[in-house]
Amino acid sequence: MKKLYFVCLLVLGLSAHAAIQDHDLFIVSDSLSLIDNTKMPYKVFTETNSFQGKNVIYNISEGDTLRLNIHNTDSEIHHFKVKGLSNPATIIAAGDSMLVDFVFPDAGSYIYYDPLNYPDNKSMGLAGMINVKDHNHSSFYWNIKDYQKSKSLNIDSGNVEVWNNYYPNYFTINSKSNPAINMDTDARVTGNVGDTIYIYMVNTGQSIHSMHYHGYHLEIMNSSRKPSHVGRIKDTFPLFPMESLVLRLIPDKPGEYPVHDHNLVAVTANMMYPNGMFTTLLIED
Amino acid sequence: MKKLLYSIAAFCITGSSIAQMDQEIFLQSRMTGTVTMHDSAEMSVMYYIQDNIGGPSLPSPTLYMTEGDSVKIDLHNLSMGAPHTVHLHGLDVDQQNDGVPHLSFEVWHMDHGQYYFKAPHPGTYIYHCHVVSTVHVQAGMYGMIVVRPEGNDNITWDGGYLFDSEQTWMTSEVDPFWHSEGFINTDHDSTMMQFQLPPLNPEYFLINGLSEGQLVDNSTAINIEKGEVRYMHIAAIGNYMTKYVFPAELNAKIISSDGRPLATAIDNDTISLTPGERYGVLLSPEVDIDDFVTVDFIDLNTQLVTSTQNIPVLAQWPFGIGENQGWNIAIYPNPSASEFTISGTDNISGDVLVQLCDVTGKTIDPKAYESSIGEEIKLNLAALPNSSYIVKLIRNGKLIHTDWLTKYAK
Repeated sequence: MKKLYFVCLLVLGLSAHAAIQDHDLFIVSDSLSLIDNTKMPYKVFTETNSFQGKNVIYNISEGDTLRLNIHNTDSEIHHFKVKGLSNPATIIAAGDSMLVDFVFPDAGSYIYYDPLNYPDNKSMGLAGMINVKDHNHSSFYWNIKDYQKSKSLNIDSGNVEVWNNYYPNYFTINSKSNPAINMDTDARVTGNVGDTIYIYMVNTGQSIHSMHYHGYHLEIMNSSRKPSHVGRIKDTFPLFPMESLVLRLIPDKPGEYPVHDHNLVAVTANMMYPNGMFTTLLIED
Repeated sequence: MKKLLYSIAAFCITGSSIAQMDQEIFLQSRMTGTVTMHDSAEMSVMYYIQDNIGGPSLPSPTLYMTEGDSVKIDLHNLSMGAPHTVHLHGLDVDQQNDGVPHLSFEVWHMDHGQYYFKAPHPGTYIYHCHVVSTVHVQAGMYGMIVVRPEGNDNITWDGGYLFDSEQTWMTSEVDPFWHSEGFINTDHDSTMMQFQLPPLNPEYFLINGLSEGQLVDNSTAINIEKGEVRYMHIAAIGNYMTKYVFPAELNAKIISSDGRPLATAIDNDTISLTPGERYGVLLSPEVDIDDFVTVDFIDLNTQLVTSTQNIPVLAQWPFGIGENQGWNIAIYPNPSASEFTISGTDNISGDVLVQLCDVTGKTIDPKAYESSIGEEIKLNLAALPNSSYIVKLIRNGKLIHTDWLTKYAK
């Protein structure tokens, strides 16, 4: 009987590892409302065919398969790829749909994006995150991005953009800027002293960001660009374009502490301070 | 009132230890004064001074602390306008001492504010103002903090690496418009919700506030003896990524980052820092070196190199720089654009021979400069290029004094 119980556990375990997460994903084009009440042409991957301001954040367990039925509601062709996986880019014609399975070799954070006309389509907003988790701790998810509004307008007008003079003027986490970031439940880190908290960060912009945490040092649990940095304990974390980082925080004291890009131009919106990449951790006793 | 409440709260929390402060640091924040760029341009700055000593500088003075000590920083704001704070970047202090205006407190003109904390980890840190931080940091309100281990100033941390000397490098940039007197003196009242800022386009790329020919300064150039181990504390505070490439012969070893030891030290002659990062690097040359550390300032948006600065490196000197064999020698002014005066408590008589060497130790032809020896020695280096030089005083065939001269003409 005991042996049978073990077999059941094994089967359950195997089935857990073989889980398939099945989702519809829509490519939708519209415009993003910015913190200064202006708008910018924007395209996103959303869960429904109505425009939402931020790209879908997928959370799956290590070993799961992510099955995406991708619908292109835009008037242009789009491609779909997950950085770090060998799957070739999926080509989705305007108005068409494609079904694709993704299997992830390791826990960590992955970037899905449109590689067509790189980096133009990505810069228009088409880049999100897939978090492959090997734990059940409290987790938060930051899709970090920068924009130069004039370039987005230029691309939206069908022009070819050059990037060697890039000077972004908007900086967001999950498509929001300070103070709206703290209202995004995926982004706003809350917890208690002694908790184990994971923060998943991807940079889907074009700039290097340097994320500084007040109050605490955090441990690098996963780094897509510098795997040798895993285990480092730091308070400031470079995040290169298309890089992902997973950090672990175990707070030792209560308080509200800022986290922000220490390229301090990035805490502005169109040079309006302090409306950029700035949020706070809220840790209670 | 808010500041008062926070001060009371801080006092209540730490009150029992205030009487037992191991270290008290007195800082003043100021906004009057300029610093000189390599091309003689004067830049208005905001800055801190420590213990009423010194004037405007980029960066502000390095603060030294000891692991585990209870530290009080008293900030006296003499800005004539803007409020200021001290954010202890990387020291992980509690909220009320974190120096972020809307989450702790700010210090207004003519007021004092106190920060109480312990520095539990030896290493390299930063302090800076967090009031309208984009402006006040660019304006110059930053400096480094070095926390030394308890009981031994020549070890990186308990169980760490021994070293003979240490040196700090802090990179930053200067946009002349942001350093105009009018912009610096704008009241950036942090009770306001928003500030519209001009575009930031730096023109000066600095290590320890210096660039180009200024980098020969002894604060920044590496002058190291063969066999010496030097602990470099390196920090970045500007808006660029900085990439250092050390000469291979310096045997650079990266040992720590952001005030924590690396699990495994890395032998690597290249290291990059993004704004807010710090690294600890050991240098230990075993051969002669006459070279440069190159520092690329990389645009975070385009990833293109905007400026490259070269820090002179001179290793293995054949004699002790500054060695004084019983003579009390003074050299002034130093640096100088042309003329240096060398004098002693005893008159220097005509039997002293003066020899000048370049940074490689090669003797410079006396025809290339003017010298006269009377009761004082006058050296005129107007015809020589900006650089550091070694002056040697020889009497009866015996070296009696050596020293650095820095010729710097704008």
